[in-house]
Amino acid sequence: MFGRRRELRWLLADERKNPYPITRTQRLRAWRMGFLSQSYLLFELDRRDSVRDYVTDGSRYVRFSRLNAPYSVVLHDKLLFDGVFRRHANLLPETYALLRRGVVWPKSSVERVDSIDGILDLLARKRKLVLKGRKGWGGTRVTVLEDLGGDVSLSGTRVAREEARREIASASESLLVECVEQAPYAREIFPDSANSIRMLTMTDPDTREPFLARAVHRFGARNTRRIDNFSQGGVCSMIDLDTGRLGVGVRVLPSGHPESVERHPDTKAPISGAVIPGWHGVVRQLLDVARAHPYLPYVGWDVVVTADGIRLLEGNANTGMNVLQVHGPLLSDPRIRRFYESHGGLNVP
Amino acid sequence: MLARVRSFYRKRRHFRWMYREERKNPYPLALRKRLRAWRMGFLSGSYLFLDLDKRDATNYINDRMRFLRLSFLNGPYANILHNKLLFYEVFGRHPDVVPEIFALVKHKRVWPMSETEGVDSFDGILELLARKGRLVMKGTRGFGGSDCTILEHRDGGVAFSGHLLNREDARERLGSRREQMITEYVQQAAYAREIYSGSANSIRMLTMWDEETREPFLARAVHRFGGGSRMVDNVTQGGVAAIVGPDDDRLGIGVHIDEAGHPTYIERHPDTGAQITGVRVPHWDRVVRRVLDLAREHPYLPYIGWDVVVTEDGLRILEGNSNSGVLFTQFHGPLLADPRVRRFFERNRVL
Repeated sequence: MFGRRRELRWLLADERKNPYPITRTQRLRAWRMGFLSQSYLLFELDRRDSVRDYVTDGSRYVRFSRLNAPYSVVLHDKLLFDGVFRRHANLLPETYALLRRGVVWPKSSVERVDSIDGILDLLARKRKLVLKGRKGWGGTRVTVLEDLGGDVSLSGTRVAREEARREIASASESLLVECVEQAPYAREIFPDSANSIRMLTMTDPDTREPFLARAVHRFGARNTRRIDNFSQGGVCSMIDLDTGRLGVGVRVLPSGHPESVERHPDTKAPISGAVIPGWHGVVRQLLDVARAHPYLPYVGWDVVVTADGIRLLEGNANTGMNVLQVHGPLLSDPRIRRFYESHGGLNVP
Repeated sequence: MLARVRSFYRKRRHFRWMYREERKNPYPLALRKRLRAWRMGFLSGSYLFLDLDKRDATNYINDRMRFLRLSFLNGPYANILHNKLLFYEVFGRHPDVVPEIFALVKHKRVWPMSETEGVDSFDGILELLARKGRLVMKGTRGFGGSDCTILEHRDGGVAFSGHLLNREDARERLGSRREQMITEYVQQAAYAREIYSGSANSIRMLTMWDEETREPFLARAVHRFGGGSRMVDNVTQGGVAAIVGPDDDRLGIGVHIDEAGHPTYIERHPDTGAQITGVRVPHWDRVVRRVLDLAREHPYLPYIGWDVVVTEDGLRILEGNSNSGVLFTQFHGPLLADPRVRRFFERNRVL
């Protein structure tokens, strides 16, 4: 318990963040089953006969943090992630600079950016850039910068250039990254965010080969501030791993329960049935990357499909389960169950 | 007071480390001198090696600074240098200077790490060894050559740092260690082999950031040579340290620690008799330029002690050290005598 105090604190903090209404009886039932209130509502566990195939939050928070130890830092730290995965050509979006304590350190050989003004000049040319917190996750510390011809939009909020300078200079340690141009299929569904796929890879303990456990496409929405965040109002849809076809979309209702949608609620573009172009190539490319880093057996990758291949936005060492299991439990796949069991990752109530 | 206690608690690991190092000192030193060393912030060994009895210690980086402050210079990024696998992963995109890593041995299993050589079993490692002749097995967390084994293919088995084992035992031995990497063996250039051929003789190149010019600079380069029939180039274990330059590519006077722990200044290697002082390090300008290029690419690592082996056609970086030992880099004079170095340490609150 003492050794896992950080994970337990994290679990408790996330429970306290639950914004959805839930009765005390339901909450206690959720905890007894090993789930947070939010997951209980989202997975509609009160209506299920058996929950044994769901990965519990108890397992996820307390056990899964160890799956990539001691190398999970490669995934937690975006700068380190950039350093390690940069060697794969055309896999990462270009990183232009590192912002640290108000100082801009150039990081790109393509575009030399070494001052805040340099960032704004680059923005004027590129129209859109991303400022990514070195340690944030879940899109919480991602700011999308857009050039509005003089003024600047910071994740959708219009500010004057001078204020943008101040905001950027006061940002905590961040990376200035290229804004990825997604493929047309994703733009048609929702154009205002980079819509990524959370692809969960695991290394099979028997064959020692990585496999794709699940892939879920996420799309932003009007109120997600330029990010494809599911818990902040976005939509997600599970991908058929054999064909690359999107299933029915899901979003969260104000009650915390899921709602199925065939079309994107804002653009009305059909989600269900859309096919990701070159899906088999996408999977092959990602598994090649996973194979090259065998010390990371469990990664939730954020992948954007572009017109000329994939771009990795980041990797998560302990991927969230909501977006993955809202479409059905993970452990019904024997290979996935076997992976977790072989790492001693299950059976925490 | 509370702040002091908190600071002490935060640095408890570093105090422990310093204490352990003090206890390791094998050389006799009178209690009076030992107390004097401690008051000056030095461990007994450093006091002896640097001959502080006879010298003014003001411009030296002392052990207190080294153990308790230098550790924090690279902040959270020190991990890249502490963990050798991470080092290879981050710097591996410069294959011209970083040796190739073939496999990772973890939990008694072999994971291939190279695209060209698909080594995925202990037999695979032995077959690769038969083809390459020599490989290096390196712990992912060791430092200072403490967890580094040279594997050599020989008739009838495998030599582990000179100790011959048959194939069966070798396989057993490969899997018995904690996390290890199997990497390319670096063949040093002839000049270094001629001075001492029993170890990979590396140059510790200390780079720091000049905040004014926002450029890295080379603070000092010290060539180490093995000695005392050991396979590592550790100066305090029988080896020799000789400064490179700083104005040209020639090796300066060598320093060797005698049996009483005192430095002796030599021009020839004590074991081989080969000339050290005056020997030119091949393509030294290119070596310095390349190391500074790497430092420039990683400005969030302002203080790195690179271990560089000069080869016939270039250089190979064996590792980077986040809390580089400053003892042997000061054999040839205190670091703080250079105003740029002093400024760096002042800005980073080491002084």
